[in-house]
Amino acid sequence: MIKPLTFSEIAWSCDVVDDPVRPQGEGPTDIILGQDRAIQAINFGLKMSDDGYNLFVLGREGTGRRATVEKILNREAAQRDVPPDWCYYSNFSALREPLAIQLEPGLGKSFEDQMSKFVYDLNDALKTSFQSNEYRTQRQVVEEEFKEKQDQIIHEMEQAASAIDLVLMRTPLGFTFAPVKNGEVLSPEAFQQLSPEAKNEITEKIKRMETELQHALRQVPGWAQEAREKVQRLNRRTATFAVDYIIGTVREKFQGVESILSFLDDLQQDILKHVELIISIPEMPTLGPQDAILDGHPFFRRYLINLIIDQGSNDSAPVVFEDEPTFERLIGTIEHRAEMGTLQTDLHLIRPGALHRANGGYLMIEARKLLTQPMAWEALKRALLSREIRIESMARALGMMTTISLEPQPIPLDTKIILIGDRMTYTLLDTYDPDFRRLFKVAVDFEDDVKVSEETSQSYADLLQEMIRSEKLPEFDRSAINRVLQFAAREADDRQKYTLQVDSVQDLLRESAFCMTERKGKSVEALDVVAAIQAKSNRLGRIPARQREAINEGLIDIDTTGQIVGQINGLSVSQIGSIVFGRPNRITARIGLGKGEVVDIEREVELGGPIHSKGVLILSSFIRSIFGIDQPLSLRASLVFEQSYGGVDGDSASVAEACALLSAIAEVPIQQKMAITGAISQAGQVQAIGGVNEKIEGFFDVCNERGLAPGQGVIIPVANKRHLVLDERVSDAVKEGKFNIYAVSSVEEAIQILTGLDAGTRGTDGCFPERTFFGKVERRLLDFEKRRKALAAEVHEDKS
Amino acid sequence: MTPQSSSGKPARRILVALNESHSSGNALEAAAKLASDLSAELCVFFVEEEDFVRAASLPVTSIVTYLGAEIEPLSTHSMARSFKVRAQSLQLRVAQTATKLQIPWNFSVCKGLVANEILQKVGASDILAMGMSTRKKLLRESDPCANALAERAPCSVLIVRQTEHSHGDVVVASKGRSEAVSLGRMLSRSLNRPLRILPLQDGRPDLENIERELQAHMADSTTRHGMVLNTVADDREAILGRLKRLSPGFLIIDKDAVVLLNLTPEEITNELGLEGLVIIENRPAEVAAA
Repeated sequence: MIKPLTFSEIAWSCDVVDDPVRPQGEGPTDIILGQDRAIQAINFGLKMSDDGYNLFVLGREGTGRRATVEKILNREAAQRDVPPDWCYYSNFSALREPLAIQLEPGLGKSFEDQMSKFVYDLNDALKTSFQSNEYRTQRQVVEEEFKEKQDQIIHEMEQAASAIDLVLMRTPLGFTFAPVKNGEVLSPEAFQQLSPEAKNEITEKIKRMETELQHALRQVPGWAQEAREKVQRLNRRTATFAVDYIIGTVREKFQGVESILSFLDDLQQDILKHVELIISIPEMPTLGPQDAILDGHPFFRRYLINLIIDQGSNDSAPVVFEDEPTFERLIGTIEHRAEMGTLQTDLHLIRPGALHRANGGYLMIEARKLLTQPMAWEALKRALLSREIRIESMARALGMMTTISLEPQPIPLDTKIILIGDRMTYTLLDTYDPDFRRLFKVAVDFEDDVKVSEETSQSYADLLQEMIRSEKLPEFDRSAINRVLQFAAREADDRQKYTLQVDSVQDLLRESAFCMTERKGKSVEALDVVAAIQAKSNRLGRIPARQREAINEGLIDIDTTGQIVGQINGLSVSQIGSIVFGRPNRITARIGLGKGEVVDIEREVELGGPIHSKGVLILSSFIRSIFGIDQPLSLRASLVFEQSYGGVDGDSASVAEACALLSAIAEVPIQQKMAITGAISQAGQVQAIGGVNEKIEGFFDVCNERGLAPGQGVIIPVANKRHLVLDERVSDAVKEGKFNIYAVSSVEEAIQILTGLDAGTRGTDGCFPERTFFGKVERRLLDFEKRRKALAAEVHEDKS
Repeated sequence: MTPQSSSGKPARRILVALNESHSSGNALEAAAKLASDLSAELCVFFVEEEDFVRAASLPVTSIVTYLGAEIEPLSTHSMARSFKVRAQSLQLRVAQTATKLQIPWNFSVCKGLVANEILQKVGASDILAMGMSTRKKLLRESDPCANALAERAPCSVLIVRQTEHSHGDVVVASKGRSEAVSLGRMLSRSLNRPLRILPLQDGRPDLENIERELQAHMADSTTRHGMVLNTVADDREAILGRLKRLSPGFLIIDKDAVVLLNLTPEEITNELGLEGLVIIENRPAEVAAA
């Protein structure tokens, strides 16, 4: 007779180590538990400097992937040199294409400050020089010279006109010559009275003078050009004098930095080229701070630089985690501002992205977030493939915006990318994106759990202590730590493993500390941990509570006492979001004369999933393998999950269904105080199933609410013994002998527990003994066969 | 102290003879500011030069264009149209200036010889404002002849020159005429430049009045700059010497001092590099009354 499991067999204890708890402060820090493979992969990936050796960290949420990677990255980053500063400055020959400059860490800020000061000084020096008396005098000389030349020709023309009784007038339409008499312009009437000869003479004189004036005036544009050139030369001389000193000051500060010196040469040429424009700018703001200059006349902005990356305050390579990896935040963006109804931009509106900030270091991104951002993944791949960061707007990349924008010089990219994602994402990318394998050659696969051992228990306890310290939680005593370890095993669904999804464990620590505070305790004890687990279960327990209520009120039929033929308590587990709970289900079997079919009603109405159907087919095969070798099975059986309306899947009820069917055939009742779970093989072995703890607890809760009756319990596969990490309410009941858990390896063992009858083995005559369970099945099947043959004979006679 | 016209009454009417020259435009701006400060009316007029109309009506005249020096036919019709366009443009400019300063204004067009027309209209005005070209007066342009008008006008005259740079102080050279000092104060405040006083010795300068004006000026919180009272000047050389040292941008000077200097307004302006010159009409009896 199979015996129920003892308390010691089901109770979880950290028995591999006596004292996993060390006093606070003695344990190691920076613990990375059970991730040797992942750590090796990270170290490999970080050391490989070749193209494409970027990392994809895969694993379940909450396994501490990011924290672990970050710890290692920070350690590595501290060993590396600080990368350079990066600035953008004007490309004076193509302002739409700002140039990038790479400077020693910290030099960028100094350069930026110097250029702000330079613009201030430039404005001041130019203003002073161009307002000086020397400049004004020289300019006036040039201008007066030009004016005098103009005046001179007009004067000469006037004199010449006067000598022949004409006057030169400047009318709104132009110059005109008119005849005069006694200082007055001749009236039309007086002119008419002149003789034709006199009129002709005046006409000739006027024509001659007009031609002379015309020739004279046509020299004016040449003089004007000459004067302008003189003024330009004067301006250049004056500006050179004013600018040389202040540019020299900047040059001195950056001696040896060729890129800056080259920029300053170009800048000086640009100032000289635009000196007329600069001095015509009426007012500059009160200069000093860069912002004031930026808000001032836009022309001066071209001489300032945009320091996009300042590494001056860093002492290691950057480790950046981009939480919002949008296209713009990844590769940077070019902002615009609205001015007079148009969108304007310049190099100062270039904003760096995460790739810029992480250049020379490491960039971590969550794969799911990256892939859900439009064009972000493509942008990242493009940057990695071309090994440069090219800033462009998304709208422009899509061809949706035609506003004039900038095309900043791309910056070389030297960043190790670390994508963090789940296994599904990794698999999908690996399968469908041909670039992925080229760019992310290092898979860092994080374990979900770790085997329980003396060493790991100690490390896990140390990890808990580290969490408690970092969270500044109150002290946890030994019992509390042990109870949390039990929780970690339960979360792993395996008494021989600890989960590495530490998020839920961390939550339990916090909630236990809260329960302790509520209790007004001094340190967190096991009872606080239990209270926290129960409180959480209670918070999420509305649905399972409603299910139990329906069972107790008879809305859902579940018998927990008595014996019934063809009816058995199966066990199922449901998951709704984060709520996982088990419950019993009534499974019934009915038979009749037939041709050996087993009808799965769930499948017939399309409520049964494929795995469930597979289970039913397997149990049919099992029954045929025992009872249908020598003769056909002359029955038709049907199986159903009673009151199941939402679909059934999985094969964990196939042992229960086999027992119910055999009970119906044998007409041997099944004990309703028992529930059973397990998957059947064709040979009748009972195989492991999932959610064993929840299933046991689900049936226990139903029985417990009705009042535990002697002999109640659950049958589970032997293979699931290792998964038993039961709640105290169940283990205590087992301890007190009020609830039983049987572990079976075959259907025969289950039948013995369920019916009290031995299943039986075939005798020398090839038949099962009559008083055994299988004997009864066999007799009944023979009866069916005889009856079927008789019926067949009658039909044959009728036809004859 | 209330600024007064040369007639001793509060200024009511500032007359501006306007054409399209820069100096004339500067005169309009300066006159408008004064009108705003004095709560006076701005009366602007444009003269359609009679000689131009006459020349246009002759069958033998043509136009040599300013741009391109092309010879084109000239007619009375085209001349009349050019006057009309010019008048409209100037009226718009006056309207914008006056509206900005919220002063009453009017604009009129008349035909005739410029100097004559100005002298006819100036009788009813308190101040005459006009521009003066920096060019040598080689041409018979539509600009009024500033020298002649300054001598013949029966009121104070504001002459504004076209300059590229404006930086000199406002200097009042007067025997103590209230109108001179208060105009100086006005200009000092409007142009935001320091005010300096050069008392003139002709008999006995009215220093008491100057002191009063100075105190008012100093007490006026809207005047940003301080003020310097220079020593008294008594003869031509002393006045000219002091004025040169002061390098005024705007000079307000008594008309009899102009006579004493024996210089035309144009010569004073060129000699001192002035932006503007205000000649205060002599009214000895009213000075005494003020």
